[in-house]
Amino acid sequence: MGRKLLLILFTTLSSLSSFAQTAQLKGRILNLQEAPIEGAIVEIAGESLNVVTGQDGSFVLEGIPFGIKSVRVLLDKSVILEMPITIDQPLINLGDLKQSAERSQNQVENIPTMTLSDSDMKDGSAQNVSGVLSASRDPFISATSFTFMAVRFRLRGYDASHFTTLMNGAPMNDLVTGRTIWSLWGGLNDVMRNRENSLGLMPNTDLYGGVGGTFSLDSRASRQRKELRVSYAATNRQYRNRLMATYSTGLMKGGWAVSASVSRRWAQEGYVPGTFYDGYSYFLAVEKLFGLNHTVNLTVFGAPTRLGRSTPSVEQFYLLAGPNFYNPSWGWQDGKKRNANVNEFHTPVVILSHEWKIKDNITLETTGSFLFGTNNSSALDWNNAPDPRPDFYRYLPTFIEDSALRVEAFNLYANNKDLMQINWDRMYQANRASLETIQDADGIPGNQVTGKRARYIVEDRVIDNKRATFYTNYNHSIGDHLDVAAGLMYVYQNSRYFKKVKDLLGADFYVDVNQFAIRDFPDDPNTQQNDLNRPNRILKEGDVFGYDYRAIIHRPSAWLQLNYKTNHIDVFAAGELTYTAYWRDGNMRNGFFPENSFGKSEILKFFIYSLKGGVTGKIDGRNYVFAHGLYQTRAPLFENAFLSPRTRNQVAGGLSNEVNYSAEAGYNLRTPRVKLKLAGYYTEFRNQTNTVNFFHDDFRTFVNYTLTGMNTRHFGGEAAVDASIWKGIGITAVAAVGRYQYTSRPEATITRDNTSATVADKQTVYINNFNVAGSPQLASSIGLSYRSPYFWFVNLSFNYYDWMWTDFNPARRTQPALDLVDPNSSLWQQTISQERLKHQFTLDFFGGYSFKIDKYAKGLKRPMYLQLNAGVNNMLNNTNMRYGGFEQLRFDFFESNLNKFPSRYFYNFGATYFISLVFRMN
Amino acid sequence: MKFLRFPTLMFLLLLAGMSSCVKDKFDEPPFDGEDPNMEANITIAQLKLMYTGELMRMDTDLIIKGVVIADDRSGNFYKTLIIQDETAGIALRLDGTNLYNDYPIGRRLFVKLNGLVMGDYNNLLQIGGYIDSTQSPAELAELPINLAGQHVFKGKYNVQVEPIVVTIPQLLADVNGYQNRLIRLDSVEVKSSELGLTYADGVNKISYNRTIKDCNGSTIIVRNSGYSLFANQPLPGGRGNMTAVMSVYGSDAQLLIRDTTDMPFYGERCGGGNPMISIGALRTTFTGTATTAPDGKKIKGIVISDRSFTNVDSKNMYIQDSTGGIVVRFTAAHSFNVGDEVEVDVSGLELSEYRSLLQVNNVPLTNAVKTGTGTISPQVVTVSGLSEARESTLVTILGATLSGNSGNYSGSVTLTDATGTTTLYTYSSASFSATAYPSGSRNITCIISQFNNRQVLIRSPADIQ
Repeated sequence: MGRKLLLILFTTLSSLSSFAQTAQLKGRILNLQEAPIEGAIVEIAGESLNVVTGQDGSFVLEGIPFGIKSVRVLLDKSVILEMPITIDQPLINLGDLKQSAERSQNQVENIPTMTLSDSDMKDGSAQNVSGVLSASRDPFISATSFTFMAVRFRLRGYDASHFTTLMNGAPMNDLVTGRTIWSLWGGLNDVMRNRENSLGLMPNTDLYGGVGGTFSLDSRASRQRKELRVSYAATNRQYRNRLMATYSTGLMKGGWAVSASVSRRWAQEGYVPGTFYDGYSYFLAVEKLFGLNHTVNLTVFGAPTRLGRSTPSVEQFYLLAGPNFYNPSWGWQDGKKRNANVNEFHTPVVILSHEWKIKDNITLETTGSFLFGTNNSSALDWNNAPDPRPDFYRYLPTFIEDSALRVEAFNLYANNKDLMQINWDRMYQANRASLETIQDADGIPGNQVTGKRARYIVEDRVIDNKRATFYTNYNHSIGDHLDVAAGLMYVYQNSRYFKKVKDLLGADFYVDVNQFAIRDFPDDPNTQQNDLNRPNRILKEGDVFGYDYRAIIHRPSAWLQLNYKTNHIDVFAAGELTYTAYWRDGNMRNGFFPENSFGKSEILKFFIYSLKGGVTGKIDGRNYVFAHGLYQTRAPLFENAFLSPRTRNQVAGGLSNEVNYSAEAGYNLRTPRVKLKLAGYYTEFRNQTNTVNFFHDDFRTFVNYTLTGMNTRHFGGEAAVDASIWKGIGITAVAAVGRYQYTSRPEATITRDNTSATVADKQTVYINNFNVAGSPQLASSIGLSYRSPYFWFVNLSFNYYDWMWTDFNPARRTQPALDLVDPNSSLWQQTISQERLKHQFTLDFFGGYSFKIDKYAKGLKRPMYLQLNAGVNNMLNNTNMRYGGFEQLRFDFFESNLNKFPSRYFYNFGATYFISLVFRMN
Repeated sequence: MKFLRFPTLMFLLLLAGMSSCVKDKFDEPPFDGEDPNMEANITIAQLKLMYTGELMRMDTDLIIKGVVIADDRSGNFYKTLIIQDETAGIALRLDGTNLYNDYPIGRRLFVKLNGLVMGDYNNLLQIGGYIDSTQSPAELAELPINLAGQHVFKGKYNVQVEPIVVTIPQLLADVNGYQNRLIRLDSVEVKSSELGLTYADGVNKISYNRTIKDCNGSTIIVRNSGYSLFANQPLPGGRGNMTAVMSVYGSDAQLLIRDTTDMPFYGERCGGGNPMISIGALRTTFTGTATTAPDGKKIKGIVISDRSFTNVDSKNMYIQDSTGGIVVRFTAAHSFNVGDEVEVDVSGLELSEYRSLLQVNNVPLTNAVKTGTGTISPQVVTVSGLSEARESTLVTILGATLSGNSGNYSGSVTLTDATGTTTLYTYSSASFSATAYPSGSRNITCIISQFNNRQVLIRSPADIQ
């Protein structure tokens, strides 16, 4: 029944063709793991010819007219392979055809992805990895990447830097943070469908891969289905409107293929008050096939985007603000909501790739890529003025000691919610009333500048990235049993970090000095200079100030994998060698660190290696078992290696490589009706380094905690089942259950940005058995779906999450924090315990309807479709759904008052909807 | 390529649809700084009278109005604003920092007192937010900053407040009356033993009392916070006029400055530096009421009065230099003769009028020393030219006639010339008082003096030719 439907859906009207000569086509379809795929449909585009593969994946298709044709393989309505072929002889044997990618028409991919900024989620989470990965047929990856996104589920609790991403063979991970910035291609869903996701330690032919897995995207023009696709979506999430248009030629005569896509996503105000969305995306890929053995593709894309963001806040303000979503980062100005937390980025990527089929069994793919662009995050900055953030701890009602006035403050906020927002007008007034004369301005003795010196500004924290990569990937099948894969890679990144003045808010200028140093170090006037090379600099809008440095990283690597395959067992072994060298290059001479801030730091060099191997047993065509293991050393990330890269070249003491072990084993069942996946894993990350910085308003400077010797252990199980029950009714159940815990007591080195002395060295942080925050450790989903023969489907899923903990403040788990606390008191327990968030569940609905226009409108020469999708997430409108949070890094050492700097929380949206209409013409 | 046409059209349509933009241009808000629509219904002086000496929560709708005379900009005041109206001043305690951004010096504030608490901190009167009963005894606590907007309303900027000019003794005499008000002390300096020190200890954040003295030796404390931006600056070494907020701590009167510009002590210190001041310049320092003569100053002139004929008080001496003349009144009879060149230290002495005659008063005899001799040529004037500027100088009136007073010198004889008449006065103690004055048109050399009204004195009958 289902197959029949598919045929109706995807088999296009046959064109008039000559019966003069036809051919027979043979082959075998293999999946990414090179196992045969049973039940796939092989069709010839434009012909009403198709056949279903047998248990061994093989097919025979007869009666194909001569000519240049396109062979397409579909599995569960997804195109998993599409290739051009010249039919010029009666018998053609294609041999083994490997599934090219997870090319999919899966419904979930039409759901707009959430875009979280990296700074929102700095310590923790996987950014929006998930959203873009949604189009997977693997029910586990599909659920974890889409459904669980609501709670920012991270696969196996791993940091995002353990997952590597390739696009057209170009490595896409940022070297400073280790993470993939998925927003680089946000809005380009139409052309980013071809991807291979490999979870865990499986062998890969295109990349060695890390502990977490690899994501490999293929955006080459010839891989884009020939179609015009225009869609509009309305939603009430981060954005409200989305327009996308994509046109791909498919492979044309002469071996050319072109694909272009543009999109726009926007919202004057998103789901959260004060947020807005203003994103454009563009994409162009041009590919040329030279003969049968060479293809060269150039892909260029970018997504200039501007986002007004929300900032996590404290519970009492969420409660006061009411059931909707409190966002402290906006305030009224000119009768409109103005957001201080605006993220603006545009980082174009250029990828040039060459694939060379040296022989039938040897391929060499070589890719060069270049990425450049900026990411600006705006924020308020102020100088000798009260903190303008409305949820600053001193403004919280609970900060008031007198109970009557505390109630008065609560009532005041409850009745006048604008008081919980930024007061822009007040900042303008303060700036205008601030007439000052700067002596020795711009470092010129006697130079006086008089004017309105800004007390408040909007600053942009800028990351200016440049990254160049070169990668060549060699694959060689030797005989019937041995596959050799290897790669050579070089990645160079040069990232400049600085601040610049974005808006003077009515003032004439700002001055590049450290206000706190003036008061705190009156006997050393040099300390107040952020840049001694250019003291007392008068700043106008656009000028750089505060900090300015570069991270320069070189990383060459090489890997080799041998995969020996027999009918019943595959064995693989792989190894990778990597050399990492990086340094900081300061553009400012900081007044506190005049000898250690300007110019290059020492060059940090790390030589690391990794080994992995595994066995896959193929009991029969349907049952697979596997076991994989990995050992690796890993260099500390740049962002953790320097105590305070904003101010100086000082490197964290005792810096050494991480040592990681990981093992996994599992069972896969693939039958036409039931797919089942069971896996277990055990991973230890040892000797990790992590640096966190926060502003301490008693010390009036940044305080840096560098934790070394931090170990975590991640183990757990994953289960997914996807079964067709009866007549279009299917059930999907997914569960990820793990324990992600700290297994050591790291040592903290505490430094401040206003003294070269170390505040505390090797202070033990008692966090053994604490939970790794940032992802639920239990996430599960059960879904029912129905596919009607009349081209519509519905899907309802129930999702349950538990074992979520907030991120903790290491300072609270040290001996000095507990010095004055009675060990038998409840305060002691409250201080050291880690907060567990309440379990959550959601109910999500999704449905769609597909309509073939040309079936009803005669005279259309090309097949056209309209597709309507609609969904409601969190149907029960649970607005009190915390998916994460963090303790503020400040701690009240004197009174141990935990409420003074209360935790901040992330809340999931309440009920949201999504409707899209897609027009498609093949 | 017909099939390309349609996609191209779709693209163009789509791009057109994309022009809908997300707006983020914001007008700058209008300049604030108008007084709110409210009026004070009580003066600060009246409010002060209500204070009983105990912490008191105010529960009536009283509003005071005042101008900020001290803020926390320099850090010398902390969580405190001082406001004053025409009648008095008071401290406002707010639990916030960098208050000066919203409440700078010169800004008019209206304070709704209902719900606030009045109290004193070691006798310094303050308004705060609540009574902190956790302290013993209970203390006045600052008004939480997030409630400040409910009580403190912001008005006009840059309202000028003129400091009250006072002397140290006057301040010390009425500590309560002057507290929390802006005052000015003229001609004061830092006590010499503290010269070279800093205002406070900015490194260790220790506050210090420093001593301000006038040239009479009166002193008062100026207290400087160790957290102030100027804490580590050296105290100024000269002398000048000081503006400050009068404050009190227990029984100590103390001054608080807003910033170092309140102590522009650039002039000469009392008794030091270039000693000489011309008599004319000295006369100009007289303000109309008793004035302290500049510190460290001496005058030098030729004695024009002649004590030998005793037509001058034995403690008085008229001296004159090229710029003018003045009466020096010693504390005892002096021995300077006409034609003596004398130097007189007038530092800090009282410059005042006796019956409208300007004199340096109460000059110790040791302040004057003879440095030589000289002569003064009398200036020729008419009666109508006997001006204040020429007071205490030697002049000659041509063609004058004396009349009246029974023909004798003693007492007031009328002197007439073509321009008018004046009095030629002779003390009864003068050696020639009982003799007759000459008649007819005479040229008379005399000292211009005053006893309520203008008069002239001759030294001896020889002055009438």
